[in-house]
Amino acid sequence: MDEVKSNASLILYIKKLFHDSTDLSVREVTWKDGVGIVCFFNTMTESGEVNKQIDIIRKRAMDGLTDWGGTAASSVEAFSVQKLVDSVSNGFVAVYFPASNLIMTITIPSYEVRSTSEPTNEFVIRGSHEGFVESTDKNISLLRKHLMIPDLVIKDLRLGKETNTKVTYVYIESIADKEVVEDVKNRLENIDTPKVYSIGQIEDYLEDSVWSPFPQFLNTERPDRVVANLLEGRIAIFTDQSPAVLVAPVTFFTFFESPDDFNGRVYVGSFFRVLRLFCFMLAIFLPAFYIAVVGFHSEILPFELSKKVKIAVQDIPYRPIVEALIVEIFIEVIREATIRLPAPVGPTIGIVGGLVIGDAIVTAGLVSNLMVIVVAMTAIASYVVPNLEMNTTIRIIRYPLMLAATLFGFFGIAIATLILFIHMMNQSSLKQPYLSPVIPFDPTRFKNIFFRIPFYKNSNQQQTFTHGGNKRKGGGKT
Amino acid sequence: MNFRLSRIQFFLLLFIMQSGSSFFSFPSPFITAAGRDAWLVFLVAGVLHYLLLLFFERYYQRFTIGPIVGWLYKGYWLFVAVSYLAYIDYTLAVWGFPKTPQFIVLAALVSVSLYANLSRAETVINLSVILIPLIFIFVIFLQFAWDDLTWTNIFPIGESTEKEWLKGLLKAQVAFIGIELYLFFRKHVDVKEKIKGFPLFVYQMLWFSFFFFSVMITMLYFTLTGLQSIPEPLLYILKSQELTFIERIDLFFLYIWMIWSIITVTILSFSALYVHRLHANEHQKRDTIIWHVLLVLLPLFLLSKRYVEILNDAVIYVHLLFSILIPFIVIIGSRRKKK
Repeated sequence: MDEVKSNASLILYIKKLFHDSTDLSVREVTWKDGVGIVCFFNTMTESGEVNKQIDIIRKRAMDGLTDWGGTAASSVEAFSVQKLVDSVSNGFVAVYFPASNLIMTITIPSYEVRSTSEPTNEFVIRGSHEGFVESTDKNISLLRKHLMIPDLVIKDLRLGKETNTKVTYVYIESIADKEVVEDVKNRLENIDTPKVYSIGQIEDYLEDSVWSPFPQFLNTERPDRVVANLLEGRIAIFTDQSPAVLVAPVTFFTFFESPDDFNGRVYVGSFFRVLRLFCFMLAIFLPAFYIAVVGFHSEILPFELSKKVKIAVQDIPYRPIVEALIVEIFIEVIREATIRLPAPVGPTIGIVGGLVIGDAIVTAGLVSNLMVIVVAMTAIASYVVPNLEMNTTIRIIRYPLMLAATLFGFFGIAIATLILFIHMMNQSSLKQPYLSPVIPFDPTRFKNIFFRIPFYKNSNQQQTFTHGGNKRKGGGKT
Repeated sequence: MNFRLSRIQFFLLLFIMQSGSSFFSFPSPFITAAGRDAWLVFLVAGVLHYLLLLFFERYYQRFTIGPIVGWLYKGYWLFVAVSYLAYIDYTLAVWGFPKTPQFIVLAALVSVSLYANLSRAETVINLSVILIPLIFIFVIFLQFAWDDLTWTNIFPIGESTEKEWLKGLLKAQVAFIGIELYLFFRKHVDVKEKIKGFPLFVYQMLWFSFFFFSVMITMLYFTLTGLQSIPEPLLYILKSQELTFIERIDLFFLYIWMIWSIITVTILSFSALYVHRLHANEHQKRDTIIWHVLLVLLPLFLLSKRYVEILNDAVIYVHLLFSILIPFIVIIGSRRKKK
């Protein structure tokens, strides 16, 4: 700032730092021993409050208080250009005092944030209907409402030089594993990209295996789900840009749990959990099974059923795989169109696509009615899984199984299943086994997968792939 | 390789290895050899199996092998894996893929083992978990044959000759194949978990019940003469079941057996590579790939009914050498060295 000769040129210099943005306010205010240059973005700050706060602090300075700048909303420190830029960019009001070369930052944020509402992709029947929004502060306050404990730790960091994105990770000190917390911190700090603009991008950097089709972080917009996971020692990662929160380390079976399981009766919750796992199997194996039966093993069906299948497919000009791909891709197209279209038009497309065109395709003889039944059942089964990421994964992994069934029938399905199983066993979420309790095999933990056990009991997540590797025994000890 | 096993993991690994490829084909040659007293012969075989387990449990710490014995075991497991693969491939060629080039089917089978063995050790150790529900389904479906069982088939007892008893005991060794893994992996079991005594007895009873069940159901379903023309009696029993929702349940179990066998081959490969790495730890990936290339190539020379039968007969004698004789020699040798 040596080249700055006067307050006017100083104001010009600051404006230049921010490329003369129209929402930048840079003004001169009188102070006890000279002037102060107030600088803030009026789109990120409550402008009416700025004068009030400055008046209060100025009065403290006039009264001769030693720590005049240290209030609940402000702090004073040595000036640097970087500090000024960071403070203003992050939505603070910065006041620079050229005479003393100090800078005061005042917190008076004002962002447009929508009000909380139930997440549209994670409905529950019973339980909380709150959802996260695109503001970490508001989301953390929702968390604090559920967890009024001093052990809830909130840590912030900024990522991306060009976006300066605020990322917050949250954990419960007494429950979370310190090694995992440290690992998350290191992974976040090592994200080396100038632009961080989405939660999915952060997920890419944090995942152990980005090329796996299986999600290694639970994406949720539900505070109750995050709270339940924090209480199991997991870590939640928030950004200001998305209502979605990343939760890890998770296992494959975490994706099949829903808050509804714990709000309903024990047997009901357990039944639906088993049903979801059954639907997972159905969604990935049913089209492959159908292709294998039609192409290779029609003799396994009872005679009457076998006759019906043969009648249904005899006039179809394509092989079962082509038939399956036509219907599968058609359903994906309808789904994609329904999501993108405005809400009032979406259901119409569903009806036109699903009923009218679906019926026409069968009548035209392009695909058999049995294939439509199989693919429709598969689609419905895949939507039973209460997590969008796992849902899309299921839709993707059935294609290799269909291909394997086309090439080798049941033999192909068997080989593909084993390869899929090995792949899942190899996966980890923050270095912890993804397919626990299958790896390491621990039958005592299986009951938690299939049954919603009453009377919550804290159990630690399996930390290592080998037997007996659990180091954490509650209390955050490592 | 640094890994630790719980006793459940250890026993599951051992059980899958022992039942692996043989459980479908085991009853027919065994009952044919032992005659009407086959079930009694298997009771005696069960006692021998338990004695062997007790011996291994007592002396497993003395079973330390050098590179030469290590190479012998690698050769043995290669032989067993190749004979299993030849048998699976031959069966698949007959039942499912008569026109598909055999190296493609073999490559598909071996690819699973290659992928698992290129992964961490725990992947192979826990791979057998996928079979647990399938084993239960297998046993449940065999129960459907209950009404067709003829209980008088096992009587009168005491008809088998001495020769039949000896032949029966020899054929019963098929159910023992893989027991030598006890000596190799026992030291990896968590020291906090007890094996000696009741847990070992439980494992013995599980092993015994599984094979005894397959012997009994075969004997009760077939007459001795009828059995001679049925190479896989359990598959035949499943095929004979009339179910309303499915016509050929045996086809499912053929592929379940195939999965079982692939996992057995994977465990065999893991064991061989484990022993190999005790003495040669470099080039792990290269050695794993070479091993699996051998597993694809060698069975191609043995894909005929005659060779498959020869291998099935020979494997029993080779097993006696590697599961009983060599362990005895190594354990006694290390005892003398200690003195």
